[in-house]
Amino acid sequence: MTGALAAEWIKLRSVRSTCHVLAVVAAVLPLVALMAWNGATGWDSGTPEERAAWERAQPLEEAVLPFVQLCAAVLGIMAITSEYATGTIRASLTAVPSRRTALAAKAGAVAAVSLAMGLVAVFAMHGIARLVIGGRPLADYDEPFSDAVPLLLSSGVSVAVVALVGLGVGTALRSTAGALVVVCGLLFVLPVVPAFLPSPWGERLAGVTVSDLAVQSAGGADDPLLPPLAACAVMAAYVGIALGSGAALLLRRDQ
Amino acid sequence: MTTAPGITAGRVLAAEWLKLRTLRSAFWTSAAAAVLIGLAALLAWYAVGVWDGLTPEQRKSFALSPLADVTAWAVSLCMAVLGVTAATSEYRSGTIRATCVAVPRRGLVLAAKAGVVGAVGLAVGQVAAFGAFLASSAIIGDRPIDGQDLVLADQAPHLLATGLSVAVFAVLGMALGVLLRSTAGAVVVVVLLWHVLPMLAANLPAPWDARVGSVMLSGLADQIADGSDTPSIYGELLAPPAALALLLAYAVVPLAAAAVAAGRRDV
Repeated sequence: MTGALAAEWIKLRSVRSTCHVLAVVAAVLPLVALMAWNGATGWDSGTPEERAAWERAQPLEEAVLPFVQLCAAVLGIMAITSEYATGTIRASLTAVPSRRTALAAKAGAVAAVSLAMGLVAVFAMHGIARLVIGGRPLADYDEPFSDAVPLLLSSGVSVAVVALVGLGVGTALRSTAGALVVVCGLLFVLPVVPAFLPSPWGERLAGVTVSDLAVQSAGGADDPLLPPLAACAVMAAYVGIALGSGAALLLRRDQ
Repeated sequence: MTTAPGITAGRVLAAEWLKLRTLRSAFWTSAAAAVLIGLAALLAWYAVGVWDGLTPEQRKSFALSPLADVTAWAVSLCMAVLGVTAATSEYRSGTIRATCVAVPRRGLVLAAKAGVVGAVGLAVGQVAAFGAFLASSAIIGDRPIDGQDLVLADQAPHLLATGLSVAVFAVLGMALGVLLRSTAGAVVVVVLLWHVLPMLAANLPAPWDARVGSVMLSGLADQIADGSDTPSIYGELLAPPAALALLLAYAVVPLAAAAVAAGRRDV
């Protein structure tokens, strides 16, 4: 298993898309600083109504989170579909004949990188926004840092969840484009559907979307569908179902 | 002795059509579009079921957004991915070399590819917009549900513009595929333009939310021909001709950039 993990680590860090994804996420940080600066100057020169609008604004790390999740999805998907595109998968499975071990090692490497990327990105964005905004009461940035930590942690973990879902879907579909469409459906299309569903199904569906689960598992939701632990369990179920279906197909088919 | 057949626009178009229709993702993205129309019908059917069980008092606070818009919005991602794969599949498999040997003029290849991808995008987009509209209006019937303006004559311009924007997404995806030569890279840029940037724009405080939102590709159809009384979630600052020009620019500018890039580099 250690050997398989080391192999997956080498493959993940030498795939070009991994560097691109990390570079793009890093490039978002100055952008966040710019948005925070825009908010700070807007608040300083704003009328009372404008100030009220700024105070209600979404925290920047939450606004940018879907983009980081999309990058993580690409990371997870490309970890496996690049092998199918180039044919490396045949060499990989010759070297590690146990397909369960191969996929588990890949999941380990993807989880480690995406979790680190998610946590660093979310905490860095929050820190940058906090520094630039200073003590101004924009988007709750004047609240103590400790209040923000649970949501920052669960947001960072949700990035890893999306990466692992991408890995599972990529393993099942063996196609970069197909897997990206499926993950975009989960991340972006599914959260729009509840607006068209009358209650109670609208609330129920909205409560199990990835972005909502991150808020609920931090205990920060106003009217939660699920208690924090259950929300964590549903997030784990996303990973379990995606990786499980990927593993089931990987075990059954010829490559 | 017969002369070798010349390269004509018609033949290049036929070749591109053959390649597109034998692409697996063309089947899957079109199938996804069909499923999405079915889902729109299912949503309408569920909403009607709920509406019928409500008291007149409760019905006043019941609203349903237009289903054609959201269907076309989701279909536009599928068609953009179709456009991306129409270009990147050639780079992945190496067919691009055979293509460029067969038709040395790269501008012609690109124009034919854009023509074929745009035509499929337009057809699927119009079918999605009108299909979802007709399905939901057949299911909702004459129930006066708030947010549902189901007179075809009123809605036709809006539906046409919505279907056209799906075609623009397809051509944009194809141009990005040629520019980036990477499926993942091009799809990420498409998703950014399609939903992530509009979502970020909507979170900007006024007046920047409307200013940035108005130039987002997903919101242009609403500004070309408005479909409902409810304000657009994107922004409504552009006059219809300006919105139409911008919509076309979203296809033409990336295509021109792709033509320049393809003309300069080695395959």
